[in-house]
Amino acid sequence: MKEKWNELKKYPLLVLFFVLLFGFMFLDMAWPKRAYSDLERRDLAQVPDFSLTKLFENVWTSEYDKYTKDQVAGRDMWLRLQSRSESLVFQKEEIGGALLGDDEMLFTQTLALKPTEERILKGNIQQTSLFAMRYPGQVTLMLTPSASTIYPDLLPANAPMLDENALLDTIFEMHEGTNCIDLRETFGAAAEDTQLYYKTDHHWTTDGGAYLAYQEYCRSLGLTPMEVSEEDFKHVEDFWGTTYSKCLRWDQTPDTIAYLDIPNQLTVWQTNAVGEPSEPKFTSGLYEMEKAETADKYAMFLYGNQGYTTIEGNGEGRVLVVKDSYANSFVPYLTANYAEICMVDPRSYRNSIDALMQREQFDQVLLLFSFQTYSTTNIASYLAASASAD
Amino acid sequence: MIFSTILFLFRFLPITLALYYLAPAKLKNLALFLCSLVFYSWGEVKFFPVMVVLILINYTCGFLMEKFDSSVKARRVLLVLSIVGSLSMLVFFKYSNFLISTVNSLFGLSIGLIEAATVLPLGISFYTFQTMSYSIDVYRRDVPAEHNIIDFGAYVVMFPQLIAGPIVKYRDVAAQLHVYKDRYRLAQIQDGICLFVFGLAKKVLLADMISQLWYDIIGQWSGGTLDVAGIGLENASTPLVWLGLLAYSLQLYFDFSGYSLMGIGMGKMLGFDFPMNFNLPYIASSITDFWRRWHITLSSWFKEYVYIPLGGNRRGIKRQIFNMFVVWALTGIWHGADWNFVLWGIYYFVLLTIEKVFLLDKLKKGKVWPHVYTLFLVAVGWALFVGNESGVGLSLLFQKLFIPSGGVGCLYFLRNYGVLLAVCIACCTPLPLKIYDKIKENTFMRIALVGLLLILCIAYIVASTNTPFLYFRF
Repeated sequence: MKEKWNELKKYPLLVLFFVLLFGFMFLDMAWPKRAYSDLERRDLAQVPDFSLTKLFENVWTSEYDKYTKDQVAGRDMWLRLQSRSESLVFQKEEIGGALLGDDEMLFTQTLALKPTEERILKGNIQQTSLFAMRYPGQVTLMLTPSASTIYPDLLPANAPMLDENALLDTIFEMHEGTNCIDLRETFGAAAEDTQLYYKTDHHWTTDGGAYLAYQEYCRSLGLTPMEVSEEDFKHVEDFWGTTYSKCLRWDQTPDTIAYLDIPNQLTVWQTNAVGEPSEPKFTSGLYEMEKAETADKYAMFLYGNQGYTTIEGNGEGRVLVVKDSYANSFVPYLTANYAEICMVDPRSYRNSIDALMQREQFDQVLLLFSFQTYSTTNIASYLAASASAD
Repeated sequence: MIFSTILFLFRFLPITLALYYLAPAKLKNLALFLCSLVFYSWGEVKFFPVMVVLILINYTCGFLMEKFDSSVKARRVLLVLSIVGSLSMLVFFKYSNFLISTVNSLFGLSIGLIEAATVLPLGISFYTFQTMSYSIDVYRRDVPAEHNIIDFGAYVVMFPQLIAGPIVKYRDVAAQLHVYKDRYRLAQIQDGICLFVFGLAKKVLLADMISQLWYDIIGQWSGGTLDVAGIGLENASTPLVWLGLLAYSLQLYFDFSGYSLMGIGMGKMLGFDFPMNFNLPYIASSITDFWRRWHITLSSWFKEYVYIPLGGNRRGIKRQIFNMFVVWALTGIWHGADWNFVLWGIYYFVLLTIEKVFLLDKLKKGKVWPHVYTLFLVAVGWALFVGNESGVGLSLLFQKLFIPSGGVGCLYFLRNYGVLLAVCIACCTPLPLKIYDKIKENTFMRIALVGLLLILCIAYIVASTNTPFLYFRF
C-alpha cells in the first residue's frame, strides 16, 4: 500500500485530476438544486421523470443531459468565468448574443429576421392595418424602436444589424390613414441627454423613453400630458436586465428602475373562454412591490404581462391598450387622461380582440408594441375580424 | 453521449474509470464493454441491437474462419458474410435514403424514404470500419481470431474512439486487450489525462467558439429549421465569406482532431495506445502531404483494405490512377451521403493525380508557395464539403467566393474574433507543442497549464448554448 502511495506521489498531475474528477462529481451530486436562475432569468431543468417510452424516444437521456448541465455545482460562477474569459482573454465584443456597446450599453444582437418571423411580421402588418380600418379614427399604432436603432454610435464598430429602420418605414407606410406614432425622430433628438433605455435591458426607461413616448401620444391625440418632475418618481436600485443575463459583462454596473408613485388601482381579471372578464383575480396598486425584491424587477410594473387588466384613471373616457411589456411602464401616465384603461396582452389573453371591441365600448385603442415583439410574435390572429362581426 | 458535456465529464467518465480501475483484472474488459454500451446507447437507445448484431456477426465469422482454417472456400464465404454484415448496416443507415432520393430525382419517381434510416447510429462509420478490419485481418491470418466475445465487444464499442475515431485496427489493440495484469502504467494515465484535456480544449475553446463566426453568416440550424438567423450568405461580402470559410476550416480541424485527441487520451487512461489521427494538417506543403496528416487512420484504412488489394501502384500507372479514383470516391462518400461529398472526394483524386504525375517534384522545391497552394485548395475543398449544409448552397457559396461582391464587410468579425483567430492559427502550427515540450519538464507549470485549460473548458461547457455536433453525418 505504502509502495503504491509512494509511486502515486510521483504523478501529482494524475492525482489532482482524479481528485477534481471525483471530488467535483460528489460535490455536484450534493449541490442544492434550483428551480429558477435569477442570473439567467429562466427555469432550470429538473430531474426528468423516467419512463420507458421517454427512454426509447431519446427524450429522457437528453433531458437528463440538460438537467446535469443546468444544475451543475457553481453554475453561476462558471458562467461568470466564461464571460470574463470571453471579455478579457478573447476580447470579444459580443457574448451570448448581446453586443457590448460603449457607455456600458448592452444591445441584443439581431442579424436578420428568420423566414418564419418575416411571415409573422407580414401578418401583423396586415391585421393591424385592417383592424385600424375597421375602427376608423379610434386606433393609434405605436412601435418602440430597439435601442440599437436609436443609439447606433454606441454599438461596436461596424457591427452588422438587422435594418430595423427600413422595416419600420415599411410598416408605417402600410398603415396609411392610421394614426401612427413613429418615435425615432423624438427619440433621436433626445438620445444624447436622456437615458431612453436601460443599459442592461431592452426595455425603455420609465422617466426617459416611456415618458417621451407618452408625450408623443398625447400630442398626436390632442391630450394634455401629465406633468412630472423628479419627485414624482420612486426608485428601485440594482436592476440587472435580461440583456445582461445573456452576456454577464464583467464590468457592468446595474440600472435603476424609476416608477411613478401614484395611488391608482388596477384589477387583473379572470377571463372566460371567449375572453370576457368574468371575475376579478385581484385589485391592488399599480406595482407589485415584491417583484422589486427579486431579479425580475421589471415585472413589478402592472403585475407583468397579464391577459386582461383594468386601471382606474383620473380623466375621461375609456382606452383599450393592446400591448407587450413595454406598455407596462408607460400606461401609468395614461391615468391622467382616461377614466378607465383596459389592457390586453394578446400573448396571455389569447382571445379575439375584435370580439372584445364589439362587446365593450372604447373611445380609443392604442396598439403599443416594441419592434422586436411586433416582428417576431404573432398578434395578427388575435386582431383579425371576429366571426361575430357579421 | 458527447464528450464535451457535464454528464460525460462528471458522471460517465469518473464512474467508468472507477469501475474499470477497481474491477479485478479478468473483469476489466467486461466493465469497459458494459460502460461503452451505455455510452453508445445513451443518444439512441433503439440502436442498441444494431451494435449487438454487428458484434455477433463479426465475432462468429472470425471464430468460424479459424475453425475451418483448412477450407479456403469456407473462409471466403465467412469473410464475405462478415463484410456484408458490416457494410449492409452502414449502407442501410447511411446511404439508403440518399440512394432513394437520387433514384427519385433521376427517374422522376417518388419512392418514400425509409423512416428508420433517417437518423444515423452514433459512430457507425467508424465502428463498421473497425469490424471490417478485424474480419479481413483474421482472414489474412494477420491476427488470430478473438475467442472471448466480451473482449471482442469491448474492442468494437470501446467508447473513447466510438464517435469520431481514430479508427483503431483490432490488431493494434489485440495484445493489450489480453494483458490483464498491469495493463496501464501511471505515467501512461498521466499522459492520457494531458492529451484528453488538450483535446477538450481544442473542441470547447477553439472549435465551438470559432464556429460562431461561420454561424453568424449562415445562421444556426437544427435539422432543416433555422434557430437563429445569421446575416445570410447572400448578404455577406466576398472577404467575409472567405473569413467564414477560414473559420469553418478551423472549426472542422479543431473539432475533429480535438475529439480524436480526447479519444487517444482516454485510450491511454485505459491502458491502450491508439494511433495518432492528425498531425498538424494545415502546415502541409502539398495535398499529398495534407492527406498524410489529416485523419490518418482513415487514409491508412483505405490504403490497406482497398488501395493495396486493388493492386496499389504495382500494376502500372493507369491502374494506379484507377485505384486512386476508387479510394477517393469512397473517401468522399464516407464523409456523408450526398453528392457534394462525392464531388469533394473526386476533387482530391484530381489534385492528388496531378501531384503524382508532375507537380509533387516542383512542390518539394518551393518554400512558401506550396503552403499557400495547399491551404487554398484545402479551403476550397471545405467549401465543397460544407456546400450542402442548411443555409449554404453550393453554387451561391462558390459564386460568393470567386465573384467579388459587396455586402456585410468583415471588419467587425475580424475585431470580434481576432484574438480567437490568432490563437486558432497559432494552434495549427508546431509552436504550441514546442512550448509545451519546454513547460512539461516543470511539474508545477504542467499542472498549472492543464488545470487552467480544464477549468476554462468546464466554464465554456456550462455556458454553451449552441454546441454544433459535426458527426451526425459520419
